[in-house]
Order: sequence, then structure tokens, then C-alpha cells
Amino acid sequence: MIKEKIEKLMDIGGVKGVAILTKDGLIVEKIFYESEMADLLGAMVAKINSEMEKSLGRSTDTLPIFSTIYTEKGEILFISKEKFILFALAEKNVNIGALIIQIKNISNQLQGNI
Amino acid sequence: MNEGMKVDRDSVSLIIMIAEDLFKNKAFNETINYCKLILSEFPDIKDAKVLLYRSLKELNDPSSTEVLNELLKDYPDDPLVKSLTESVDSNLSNKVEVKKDESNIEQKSEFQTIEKDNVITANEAENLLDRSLEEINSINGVLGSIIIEESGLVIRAKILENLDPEITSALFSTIFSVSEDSISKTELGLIDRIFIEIGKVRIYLFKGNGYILGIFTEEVVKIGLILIKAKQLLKNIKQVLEQ
Repeated sequence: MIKEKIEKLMDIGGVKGVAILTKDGLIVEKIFYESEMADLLGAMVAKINSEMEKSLGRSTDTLPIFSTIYTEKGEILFISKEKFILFALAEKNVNIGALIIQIKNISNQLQGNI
Repeated sequence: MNEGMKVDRDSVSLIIMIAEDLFKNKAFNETINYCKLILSEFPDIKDAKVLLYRSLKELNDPSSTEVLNELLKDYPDDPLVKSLTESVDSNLSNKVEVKKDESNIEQKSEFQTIEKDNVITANEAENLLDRSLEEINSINGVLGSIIIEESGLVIRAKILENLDPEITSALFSTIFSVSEDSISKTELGLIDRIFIEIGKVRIYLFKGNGYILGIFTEEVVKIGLILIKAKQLLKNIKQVLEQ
């Protein structure tokens, strides 16, 4: 069921992969064209998120953190919820607005399931 | 440039910047078009008029004299305008100092003075950076901004009172170092910028020349303008801090 939900993100043009992680970086579910990339980015996202939560989370405990890293060749988007992190890797030409909305929607739906 | 294009007060600074770039690239006709566009809506924008004069002069257009006369009439005591009259005799065409408002004019002309003198005191550097941050903070929706060295040392900060600049800078530095470390192992290239959304606050992080600029904003903000200003600041920061 989780996979079905994250497949919706893959339907957006330019999305190269989506994964759900635990807060410590273990992958729960993934759909990635390059499997190794998912592990690497998953570890990176979990680490960045933990740093953000350590510093920024102090005054905003219950607030989810949404972040986008713009690189030369692609964009990494992730949202951190209470028990999991949802992240996506996309090409530069992706419809980033649509992707952000979908990531937020799906993470809210998954919140109840995980 | 589109025919019949309209300009609003908020876009003037951007259009002047575009015109200035065009001038630097010796696209004088295009510069003139942009200046005339601004002046058709806001005839009181001195900077546009100055740039128009300089462009006309580069093209040896006789109407440049009329523009200069108008400038001298409207701003007889303005040092920038006075310098134009001097430039008639001595060729100072490479000293373009055109900005949207007074603070902007001061900032850029100061950057150019530094370029010329090659000397800058710590106080001057602080003032310049403060002014740059204030300029960014004056954009609607911007809550604060901070400049840090890439290892996490605070250089200048004008952020929300309840945020500790030291913790903020450490966080921003960590975010960049962790991201760069991981991304270097992929084929995604260098990081251009990072965006973080926490509750109703947005944080935009930019890196350039070994410095990180962090900007805190509300939910709704003109991100295009922030991008331009941030890149402009990061371009100039090395010049200010390392001379």
C-alpha cells in the first residue's frame, strides 16, 4: 500500500526516484531507477534531517521539516514527519510545484499508516 | 524586451540591474530601451537617467547632452551627476554607478571604490555587509539574513531575535557540508542552493566564494528577487572580506 502511494510521485514527469526512510536512514520502501543512489541519498537525507531537527527542531518539535536541495543536475526533496522521511530525486526540469504538493499530500496520508 | 511592457515600482531595481549588465556588455541600444522604459513610467528615477546618458554618450548620440543638462538641472548638487560632467573631459565611462535607491547607490559605489583603492578597513567591511543584509531584509516577507564562513563562523547576522546566530550558523554549515559530502559521491554536481521549510518559516541557503548566505522568510515571498540579491551579494563578498 505504501508502494502504491509513492508510485503516484513517480507519475510526475522528471521524478527519478522516491523512497521512504526511517529517521535513522533505513529504507522502508523505494522506487528508484538507480538502486544504489537510493541508499546513498537516503543516508544523506537522514543525516541532514537529524541535524536540522537537533538545531531547528528545539523550538518547533511537532512541525514537519520540508527541504529541497538544488544541485547542478537535479533536485532532492524531502519531508520529515513524526516517524518517517519521504524523499524524492528529480531532474532539473521537473514541475517542482506539483511535486512539492504531492509529497506533502502523500506524506500526510502515510502518516496514519506507518 | 517586449514592446508595450509595463514597469511597476518594485521591478525598477531589477530592470536597472538588467540595463546595467547590458551596458557593461556594451549593448548600448538595449540599455537605452530599458532606461527609456523605466523613465516613461517613473521620470524621477535618477539612476535610469544616468545610465541613459552614459549609453547615449557611448553611442556619441547628441541627445546625451540634453539628458546631461536635465540631470544637472534636477540634481545640481549630486556627486554622481557632478562626476558625469567631469567625465565629459576625462573618460570615466567604466565607472557605472546606477542603482534603484539611495542605499543601493551607496553600496555599489562603495564596492567600486574598494576595487579602486584595494584597501578596506574592518569597519567598512562590516558596514557594507550590514547594508547588504539590510537591503535583503527590506524585501517584503524577508525576516532576516545571515552571512557565515563555510566552516560555520558567523560573519554578520541580522536575524530574528529568538534565534542564536552561532547555532544557526553551525546548522547551516553542517547542512552544506553533509550535503556536499554525500552529493559528491553521486553525479548530481555541485549544490546550487538549499531550501528548508519549517512551519511558517522558510530558509533559503546560498553558497558562493566560500561563504554561506542564509535568508529567513515568511511563506509568501518574491523568491526571484531574493535569488538575484543573494547571488549579487555572494559575488561581492569575497572582494569585501579578502582585500
